[in-house]
Amino acid sequence: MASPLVVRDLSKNFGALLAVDGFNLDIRSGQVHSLIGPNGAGKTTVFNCISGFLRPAGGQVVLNGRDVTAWPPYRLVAAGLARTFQITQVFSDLTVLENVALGARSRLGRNLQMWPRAQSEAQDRAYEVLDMLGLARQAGAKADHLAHGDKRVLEIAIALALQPHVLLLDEPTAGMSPGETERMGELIRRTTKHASVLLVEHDMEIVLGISDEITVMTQGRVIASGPPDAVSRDPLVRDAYLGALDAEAL
Amino acid sequence: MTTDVWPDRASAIKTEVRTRRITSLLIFGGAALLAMLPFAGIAPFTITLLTEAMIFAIWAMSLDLMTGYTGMLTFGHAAGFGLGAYAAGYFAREVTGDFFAALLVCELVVLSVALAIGFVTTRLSGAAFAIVSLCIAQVLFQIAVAWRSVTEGMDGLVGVPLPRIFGVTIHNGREFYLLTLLVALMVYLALRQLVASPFGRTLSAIRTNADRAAAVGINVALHKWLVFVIAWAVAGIAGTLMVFMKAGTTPMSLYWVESGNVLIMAIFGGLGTLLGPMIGAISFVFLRDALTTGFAVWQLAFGVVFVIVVLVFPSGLAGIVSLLRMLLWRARS
Amino acid sequence: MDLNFLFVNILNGVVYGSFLLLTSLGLSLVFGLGRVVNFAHGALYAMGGYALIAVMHAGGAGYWLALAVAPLLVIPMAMAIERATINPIRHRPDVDTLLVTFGLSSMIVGAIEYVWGTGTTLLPPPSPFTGTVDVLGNQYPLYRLVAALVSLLVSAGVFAIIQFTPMGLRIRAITDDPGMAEALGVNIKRLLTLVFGFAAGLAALAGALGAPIFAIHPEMGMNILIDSFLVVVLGGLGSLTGSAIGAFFVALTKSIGGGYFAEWSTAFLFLIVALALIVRPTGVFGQGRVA
Repeated sequence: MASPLVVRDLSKNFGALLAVDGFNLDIRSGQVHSLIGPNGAGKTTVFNCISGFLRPAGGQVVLNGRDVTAWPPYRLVAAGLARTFQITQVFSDLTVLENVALGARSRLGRNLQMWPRAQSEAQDRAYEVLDMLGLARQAGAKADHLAHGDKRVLEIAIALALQPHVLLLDEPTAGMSPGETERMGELIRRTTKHASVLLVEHDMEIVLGISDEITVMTQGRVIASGPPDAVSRDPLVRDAYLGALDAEAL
Repeated sequence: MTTDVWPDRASAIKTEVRTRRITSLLIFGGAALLAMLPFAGIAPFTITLLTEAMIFAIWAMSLDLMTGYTGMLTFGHAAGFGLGAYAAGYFAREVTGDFFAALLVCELVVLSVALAIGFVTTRLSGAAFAIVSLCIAQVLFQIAVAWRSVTEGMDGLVGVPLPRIFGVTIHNGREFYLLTLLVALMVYLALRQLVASPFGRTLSAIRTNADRAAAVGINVALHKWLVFVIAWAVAGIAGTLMVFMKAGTTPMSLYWVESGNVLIMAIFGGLGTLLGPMIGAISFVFLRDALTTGFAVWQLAFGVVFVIVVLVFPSGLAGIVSLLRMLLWRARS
Repeated sequence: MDLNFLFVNILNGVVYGSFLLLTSLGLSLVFGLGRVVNFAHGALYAMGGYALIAVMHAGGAGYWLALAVAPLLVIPMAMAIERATINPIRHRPDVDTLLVTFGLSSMIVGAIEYVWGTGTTLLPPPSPFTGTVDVLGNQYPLYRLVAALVSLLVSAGVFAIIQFTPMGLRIRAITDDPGMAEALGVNIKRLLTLVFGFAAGLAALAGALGAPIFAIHPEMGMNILIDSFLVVVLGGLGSLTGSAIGAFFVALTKSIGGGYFAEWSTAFLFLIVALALIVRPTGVFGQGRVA
């Protein structure tokens, strides 16, 4: 059975700057795979290359056995890939329900439908997702009015409504309190029932707590990859993080 | 089935249906009222102004679809309007004044041009798109001026006959007014259906955050292209009505000032509401008539008010849409 | 093939190109620095022309004095407008400043029409350049060449300022990277207002210089505004050399093409711009999108 997501030899440059070089990744079905590294390591670039927001300079992205390299985002969604954003980008004008319904509608292939039918089906599905994530009570509220933590959950709800095989989460716990972070961790583990997860994170506790596998990046390259305990003991990894810590201290 | 999942759903649907029924009632009531005006002793000149206002309303609603709902600001919306006017007018004069035939020809021309041009220009967004739209309209303006053999240049197309529907001639004044009113109503209803549909919801998403919309599986480029074409097509309808009303047209119907006028109408009336631009169009026509003596003052005053409106709404264009949405939302609950 | 006809058209193109360059530079500078698309640029051009005749008629001054004074009148006005209407909203999306400047354009043109009426005023070429001069066997109005020369000199001056002065360096840095402003400790608000005023001065100068050639009427700035947009689209925004090449390309296409194909040449020009955008769909106003 094909791996949900395989990335081979991915590279990306911005002019003379080589942001990502020879990046490899293989996610196994139903797993949480975390991507970590110091700031500027190229994690977001990798994310953007996989999710169609940047065109890779080289390499391949294979989704469920299909080569989807450089596909535009909307095609990737149809192929079963969904992502969230580091900076919360919910549709602030719309209600919470409407936000998720957008995803559901996309999944139902109804985006081009010009007559008002069966929106209710999309809204039903949206409500189910919200219920699963504990946001059902706020379905009618304007997305803008949610607390920060709830907005991050909404981001995931929208992505889940797309029923992806692979879920890309870009720093889902950014700006969250410890309690919210824990809840998010549980939530992410729960989603593995339906999808495989690739996670970019800074919070080491979460990463070590919920990941099945961790890939460590620094300066555009992978320096370690494996289960959490192996990676956390890896001297190269300690070096990279300690090195980064030292630089910050200076 | 799903009532247990979503307990508030039943009441939410009831309110939605009720609001829609009330709005529909108001619309049809308003239309009926307007239809009765010529028979109620209203001055013929006022009827003429109202006819013009209705034509502009159709035009402004098409702009609202593109700018208010999808967030595509354009300074060249005179393009579809003027192009439609020339196509319909030329056909009516050379072949037949049958209204539907002229409308068909108009749409064939407008759609082909919009499909081709839209494919290229909708790849842009924001200021770039707005300005390129202006340039497109200017091209058409230049062609209208240059192609004297067809358009008669700056003198304009004249001699367009009265329109005929099923062989019956529609005369100026009351008859044409009723025709325009009917078309305006139909356009409004059609557009209202469109924005309430999944397609319409997707447009709102694109306006709010196009990148995010893409990440939700929306083919943004395709949607923008379709909206562009639809907006031009509806503008073409307005153009067809206009060319019959004025028995002709000039290149000025493609000029940037016209594009600015329809933008003003839509913005003042209220973007993102469909009815707003209609109200804006009516206000514009009557205000302009009242102030024609001091045309320069008109342009100056408009400029000032325009600037103030854009400045005062904290989130600018988006803010006007959100504010109206919020007010309507509050009114609903 | 009438070579004289072609030659005169080329000359006309070069003359117009010099003016176009002057206005395009201003447009490009303001956008590069503040991401503001100044729709009112054409109105400021017109303002220059009207300030000129105001000084000449009301002040009784001669042309050359009025030419020097006119931009000086327009600059503070433009700076005040910028402070009041554009600066407050510069963090909003581009389209908002576009709308505001559109409104300003309407306002300024309306004000001009209110004060001076809607008619066209013709201004004779100023002495001592009233006659024609023989250029390769053609009689060509001398003033046009003089005005073109002045435009080119001023443009060169602008280039020099941008390339060789510390202020110019700051402007270029911020144009490349808006975040640089803080790093350089620059008061960006003040700089934006200054550059806006400067650009307005360039436009006003162009308007005043061109008055004896192109006639004065309230809408005189519109055509050159649209052409300036074309120049900036083709030449690349914030790029002064691009503006230079673009300005002459547009001007020559219009005048040579115009001589043989009338207004079709303008349509053709817009077509080229559209094609340029297909090739560079990342947009010329720096709004590249992959998705």
